[in-house]
Amino acid sequence: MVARIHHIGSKVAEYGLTLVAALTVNFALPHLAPGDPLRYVIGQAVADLSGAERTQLLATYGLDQPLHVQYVDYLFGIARGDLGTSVMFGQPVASVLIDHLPSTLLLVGLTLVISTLAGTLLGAWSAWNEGTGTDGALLVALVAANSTPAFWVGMVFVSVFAFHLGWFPSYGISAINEPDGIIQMLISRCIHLVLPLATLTLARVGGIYLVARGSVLTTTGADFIRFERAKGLSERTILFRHVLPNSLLPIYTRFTLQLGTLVGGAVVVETVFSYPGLGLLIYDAALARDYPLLQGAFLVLTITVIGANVLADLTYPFLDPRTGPGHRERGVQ
Amino acid sequence: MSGRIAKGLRSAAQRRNSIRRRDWLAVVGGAGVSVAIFVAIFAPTLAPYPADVAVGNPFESPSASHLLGTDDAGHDLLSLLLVGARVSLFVGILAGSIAVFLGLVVGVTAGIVGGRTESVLMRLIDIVLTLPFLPLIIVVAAVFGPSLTTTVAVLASVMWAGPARELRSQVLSVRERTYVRASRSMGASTMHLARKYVVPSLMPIAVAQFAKAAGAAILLEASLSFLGLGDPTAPSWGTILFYAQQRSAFLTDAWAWWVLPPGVAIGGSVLSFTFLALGVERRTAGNRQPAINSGHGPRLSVCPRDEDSDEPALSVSELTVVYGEKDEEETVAVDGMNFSVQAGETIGVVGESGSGKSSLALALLALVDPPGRVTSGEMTLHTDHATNDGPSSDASIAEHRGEAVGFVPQEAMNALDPRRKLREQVVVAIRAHRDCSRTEAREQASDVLTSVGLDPESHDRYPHELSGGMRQRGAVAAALANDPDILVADEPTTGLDTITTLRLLDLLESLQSRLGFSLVMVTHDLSSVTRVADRLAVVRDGRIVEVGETAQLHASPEHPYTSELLQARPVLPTAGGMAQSETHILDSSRKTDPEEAAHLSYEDVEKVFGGDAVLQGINFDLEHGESVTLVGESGAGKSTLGRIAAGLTAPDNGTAFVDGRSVKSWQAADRPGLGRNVHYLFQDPYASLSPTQTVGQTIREPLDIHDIGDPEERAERVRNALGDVGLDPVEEYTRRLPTALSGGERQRVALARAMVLEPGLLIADEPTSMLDAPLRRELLELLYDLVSDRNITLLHITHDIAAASEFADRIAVLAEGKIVETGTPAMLLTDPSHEKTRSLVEATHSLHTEMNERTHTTEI
Repeated sequence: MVARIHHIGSKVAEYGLTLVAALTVNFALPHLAPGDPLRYVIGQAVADLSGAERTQLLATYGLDQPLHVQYVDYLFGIARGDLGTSVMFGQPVASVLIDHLPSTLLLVGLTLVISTLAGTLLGAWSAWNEGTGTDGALLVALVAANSTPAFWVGMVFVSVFAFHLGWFPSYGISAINEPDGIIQMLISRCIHLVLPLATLTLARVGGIYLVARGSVLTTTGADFIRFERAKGLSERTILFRHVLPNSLLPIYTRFTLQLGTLVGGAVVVETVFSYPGLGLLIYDAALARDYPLLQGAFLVLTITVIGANVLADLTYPFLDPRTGPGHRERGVQ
Repeated sequence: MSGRIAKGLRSAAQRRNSIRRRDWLAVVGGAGVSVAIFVAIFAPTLAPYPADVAVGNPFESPSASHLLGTDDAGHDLLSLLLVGARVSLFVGILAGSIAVFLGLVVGVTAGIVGGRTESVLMRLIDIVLTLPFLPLIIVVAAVFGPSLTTTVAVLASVMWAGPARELRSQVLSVRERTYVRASRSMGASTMHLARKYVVPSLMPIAVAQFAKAAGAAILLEASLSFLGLGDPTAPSWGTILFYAQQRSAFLTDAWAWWVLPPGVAIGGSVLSFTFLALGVERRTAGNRQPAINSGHGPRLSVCPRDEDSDEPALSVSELTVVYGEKDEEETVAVDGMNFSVQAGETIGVVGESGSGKSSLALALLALVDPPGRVTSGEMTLHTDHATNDGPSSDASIAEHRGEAVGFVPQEAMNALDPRRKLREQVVVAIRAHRDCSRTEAREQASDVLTSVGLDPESHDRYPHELSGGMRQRGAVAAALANDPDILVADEPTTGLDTITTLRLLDLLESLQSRLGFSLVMVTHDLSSVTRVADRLAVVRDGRIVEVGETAQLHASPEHPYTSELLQARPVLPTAGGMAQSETHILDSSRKTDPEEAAHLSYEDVEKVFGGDAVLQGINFDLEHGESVTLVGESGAGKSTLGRIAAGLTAPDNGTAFVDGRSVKSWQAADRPGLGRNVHYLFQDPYASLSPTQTVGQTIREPLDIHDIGDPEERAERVRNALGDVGLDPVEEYTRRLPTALSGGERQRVALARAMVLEPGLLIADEPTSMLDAPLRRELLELLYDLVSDRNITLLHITHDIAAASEFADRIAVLAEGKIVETGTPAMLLTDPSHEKTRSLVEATHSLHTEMNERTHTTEI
């Protein structure tokens, strides 16, 4: 019990450190960059300021304080939920982010589920048929999918499926004129989700596939597989009931890397499809040099990734009876 | 698969110099990368026009003058593509290189230095890996302004973490390899180990990581440029797509030639890098067998069993098993064997490693894994489990596995699914063949588990919560769950100590008398098989040379190999034999040079492993020139005691002294001295020799470590050492790799390596337990000859008291954490005082002298 508490404690500390690291990066960047620090708060308008206005603004935003005081103030501000004001929207960053977060969560969440399922099954199938044409074909196809940039795939999809074939809309999250009725709205949402979802899934499934394939290959060499055969189990039963469950752990532990890059993929995909989520927001903010919004979005994304990791750590012991308190090793297999 | 078969395969592989089919990944990847780099370097020369100047009309279709047409401003798209290649690949390769370099530095430091530094670095890696890359890069690029420098710097600063983690793992795994530990025990410095073992093993991984990083960097750079955050003065492929998106290319006719080529270029380059990485990883991972078992066995006929007839329960004729890829060098493991088993009998299949006996067992159950396959054979099975009323041919043994024929594999303690509780695994076996409810199956499973001697409270445990012996019983239970007619056991006693072996054999015998199955025991443990088998089949080089009743084969064998094999069975020395050891002691007390030999002393040594007090106060001395054998059951702590003397493990309390000086002070002040003085001979000859060093290099290593003599002297000493251990011709052995040697030869090489430094104290940890029984005596004779010639103090650790009593000056018995008794072999064997000694002696006596006296009415 004590060991468990101690372990959870160290995990919490580690995640806390990650958060602090992200916050510090956020804080440090504008101060490291060249140019007027005020630019990072109010944007291009800084060029039109008079000397007196500038001094007054510096004081208002506390930019004339010593660095460590600013840092502490910054941290307290974050704790209060104060992420600054967006230059583009003129609203608190926090509320802008909250408005746009759910759409991205929907897209990313669905992608995670579908790509993990598809990647695992395909990887297991490939490993089971290692060395044959099936394996080779799958390997080439999925590595190719993994190698092509997601935004390009999106562009191709838009052109083919939205433009030339007209099957799906090319942008947005739902029709411009919001249809009446919940069902119609849901359907409209779903239709708008198809292409972005397909694009992002295609970009991500290859990574899971490779991990699953490697993991299954390792397990099939294990001693106990021959014994299951000796008991008289069919090959299919062995693959799905014995090999696969024992191979899941490395796939599960890849959560971290997966999420970090998945979120990055969402940025480009939302941009291509003008899907109004956090990703598109980041893009617009980058173009407009709306730094408060940009930094706030980065922070929120980091917190989301940390949250998912916590979830994975908590549920890990259910997958691996050999470990007590979650000893999930994050990262590459 | 071992010995001869493995040797055959490996030599075939070595002869194949051409590129194997499996290498296509690396080849294709390498080719793609080369093309990309070539294009990138020569882009300005290859490009027909300057990329940033309008050279045609907007949106021109592809033509002879503009192979890809033009964009909306009249730039030649092909030139844009070629110039973009430069930027994309430059960023990718540079960022990838820096990332891997940083990763190498961090990973190797963490792996080698360890301790707090390692923890801190690993935390750092975790933190970096959690941050979302692209958003971070976007923020940095937006703040600092887009430029190539910013892009490369940011990419490298986040991408180093993945390679660092991978490389550290590799460093840790190399550090733990037995041959690296052997090197360290001989006094090698960290630098030596790093240079000789760690860094070479890192190279392939570093290359693979570089390829992966470069690919990822290209993709990230493309995304960054696509979002408009790329360097405006250095347009990459992503930049082309950025403009395409900005200018709504998909609305125009030029879409196909504007958008498709850059995407294909990016995808193609990243694909090539990924293939290269996969190919390199595949090469280093070595050969792996395809997963699906082909399930081919001999042609099978199944008949219902007739109680009255004399038909054998199982018979197979002309069984042939061959190893090797198709169209390539093949090794015949089983060469047209004819074999049969009567109902209710126990038959032992005996032979040396690589003789084909295991392949025979596997072939009977069609469990031969690729690259092995059964090429001929007809098998008839008479079983109660036959489904039809009449005989059926062309049946598949796969249906009968686990039902008519049960199988207990080698190292059964590792044969259990680690994720399932013990009872579940038996339930699986039951429900694979019987239609019954979960509850019924679980009850039956519990019954079976109890019948093999497992307490009910262990039934619902996971394998890792049970001891090795209990796991082995669990495997036997699963094999017997459906009441098979035949049980095939592959090397069931390997690695077990005497007492556990006896228990297992008794268990098998009692189960057999209750359930009535035939037992086929494949083993090289002659004592066990002599004790339980009614008949013996002697196997050599894939053929059965003789079959007969156990007693008869021992008394009057017909084939010369049979008598050779059976004579190697260990016997307890007679009074005459032990008298020799007494003279041995007298000789040692007259040693002319007691200063040369070391003196080992344990004082109140204690050691706890995971809650178990393994050593509870050891007080024990070894005199100069003595040969002492330390015996005890598995897990008693014998190896631990040996490791403490060599400085490989530290005691929790108490001290070990070598030559009057504590091991700890040796390690602090004169580590190389300890390595020179004390040599630790490892148990596993397959792991204690580096697979990439020749025999000559391996034996020379201790001389290199301690910088003794010049190269000629060293070569001379190596030659002498090889001659001393009987590996002739010396010149040829010097050049060989360990993979081409048998277990016995390898252990001799390890001995030669031990001798070359002329240590004062030699600690031999179970030096023969991994060798075939027939070879053990030879090696022990060699060991003791060498040791007595050079006046070396020997601590011989073993569980085999028979071997101990033949050679040792003194025997010490380790049990329950203490040395419970010491004495000469004569004393211990004829009149043991402690009950532990008595049970060990009795068990050994029982195992090695009893023979199965049952005779069979039918002759074969």
